[in-house]
Amino acid sequence: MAESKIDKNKIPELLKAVSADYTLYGPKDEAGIVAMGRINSVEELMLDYRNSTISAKELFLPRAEVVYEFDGQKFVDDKLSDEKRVIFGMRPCDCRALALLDRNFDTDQVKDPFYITRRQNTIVVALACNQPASSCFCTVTGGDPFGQEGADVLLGDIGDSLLAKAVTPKGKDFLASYSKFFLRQGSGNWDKQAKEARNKIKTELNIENIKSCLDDRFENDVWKTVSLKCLGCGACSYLCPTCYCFDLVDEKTSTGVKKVRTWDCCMFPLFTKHASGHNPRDVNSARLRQKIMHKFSYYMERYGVNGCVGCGRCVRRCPVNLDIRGVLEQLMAAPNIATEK
Amino acid sequence: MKNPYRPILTKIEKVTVENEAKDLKTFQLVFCNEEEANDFRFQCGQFAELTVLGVGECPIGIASSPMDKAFLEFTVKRYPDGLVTNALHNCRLGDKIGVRGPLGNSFPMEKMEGKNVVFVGGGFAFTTLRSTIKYMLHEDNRSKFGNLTLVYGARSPGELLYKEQLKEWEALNDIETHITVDKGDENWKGKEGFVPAVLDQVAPSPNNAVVLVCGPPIMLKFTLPVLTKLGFGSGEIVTSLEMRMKCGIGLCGRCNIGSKYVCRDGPVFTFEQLQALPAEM
Repeated sequence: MAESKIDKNKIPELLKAVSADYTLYGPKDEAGIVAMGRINSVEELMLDYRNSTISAKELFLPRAEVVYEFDGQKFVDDKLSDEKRVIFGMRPCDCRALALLDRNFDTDQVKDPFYITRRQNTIVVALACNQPASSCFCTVTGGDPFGQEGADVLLGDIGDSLLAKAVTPKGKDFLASYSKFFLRQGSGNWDKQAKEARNKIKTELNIENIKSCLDDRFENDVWKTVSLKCLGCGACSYLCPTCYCFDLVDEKTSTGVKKVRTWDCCMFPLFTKHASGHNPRDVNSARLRQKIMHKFSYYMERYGVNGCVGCGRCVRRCPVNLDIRGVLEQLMAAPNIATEK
Repeated sequence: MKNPYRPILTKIEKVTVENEAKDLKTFQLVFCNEEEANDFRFQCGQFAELTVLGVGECPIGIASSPMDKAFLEFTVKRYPDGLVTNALHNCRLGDKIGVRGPLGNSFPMEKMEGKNVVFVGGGFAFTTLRSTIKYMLHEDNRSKFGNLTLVYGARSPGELLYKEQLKEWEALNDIETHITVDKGDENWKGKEGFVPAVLDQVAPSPNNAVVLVCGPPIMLKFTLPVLTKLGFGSGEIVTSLEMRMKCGIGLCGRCNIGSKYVCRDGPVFTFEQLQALPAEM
């Protein structure tokens, strides 16, 4: 696709023009952390950030949203978001996470209208990653600091300006609409930049055979070892851009009820507890196993890819420094001996 | 796009208290909207999410037959800690109940055509088996299936589900019934003994046969070796699982065993399929 670049001085003008046509979202400071939030004035947008503390997941799967309302007599028409949005400056790992979420919420069998509408109404402008953190491991899980999966437009920072390329037809239209801010350019020097960024990811971990390795070790004491210090707090799931498990909760209104979908987490004991009291995952090690197996075995089995994008948020924010990379290493190193039940 | 979370409305037409402990009730629900009634087509073994509006949802197997077009039946066990099952048990005739479904796969109805079918049921896990027996005994369907044999048991005579129906079936020549209780009372004239033991005595032939087994885990544990001994292959032994569920459509992430979602890939699995899954039930 055609490539172009934009002088960094022009970015405020571009963002103002975009804000006139779309609701603009992007990385901003929210009480000391970087969140993907609504940009009310273009000065708020931060483009010199490493990665957002909180992922962009909540822009597609809000922490809580009404999935239907019953007014006491009848169901109220669904309130699907009609907001036309541009998310500007999302990191490639989070873009790739959207491509993974699509596999769950937009399938041949089941379509989630709330998620799909938001995806359709959003243009994702990704910003490639020049400064991966020491906790980043996107290249381990199949991603890339300059990856474009899940994005509509990819931008790359080359100092005074940003390179831009369209990834999807939607992205091409976007760049065409705002072409006056961009200079045409034959071919940007993406490869060199991308290689440099890739080399900055120091995590050395090969998870090529992770699925069969985990499947072989389902019944293994190593799960008890790796889960010993896990508090089961669920911070990792809430920050994870690909964790999508949810709960459905009834709330009463003045005349009727509404059903609210909220984030949930497989690390919580009640997640799987039956009304009878029986719980198939009644210990923390079984729950951590579920979390790891879901991402690196079950996701692979259902969709042919693993369900982790290597953004490193769970590594950075775990209150007891449980590092998923270390956990995977320990699991792969464990002797393949099933534990007697 | 259809909203997969929104139920359709039904009204409680009839409530039957099924057991002496009074914690099992069968709810007969009629659709509030004729069009929705016509659209609700299900197969034996499927389930639905029942909504008590303002309280929550719970997944329950459909106990009525697909041939019963005018209503749906669900037999619900009330658990002391079960928010929704308690609310359901407190509902009255005429109350509105939301139904979302049909959900999940079904018993292998096509595969069973031309074959003998053995039903092995225990306690209140008998609901979707009852749906299947009713369906197969229906005059429009009976000729499609071979001999039908039922072994059904409960703890005591008072805990047997669908007592009137069981009497009707016993009076028919169309299905061989063996009803047993763990321990009888002074009025009980039927069999005494656990389901696996009775099944062993009845010894149904595995030739050209499929067996549907639904019961508590302890019954399944002792039934499987009996079936294996009788010569049933693990692909011909079919069961139905329960799990805590929310969405019922494979999205919310909680009812999986390994990579399989009980709600979408199940609830019906063959024993062969279960053997390939991790032991996490």
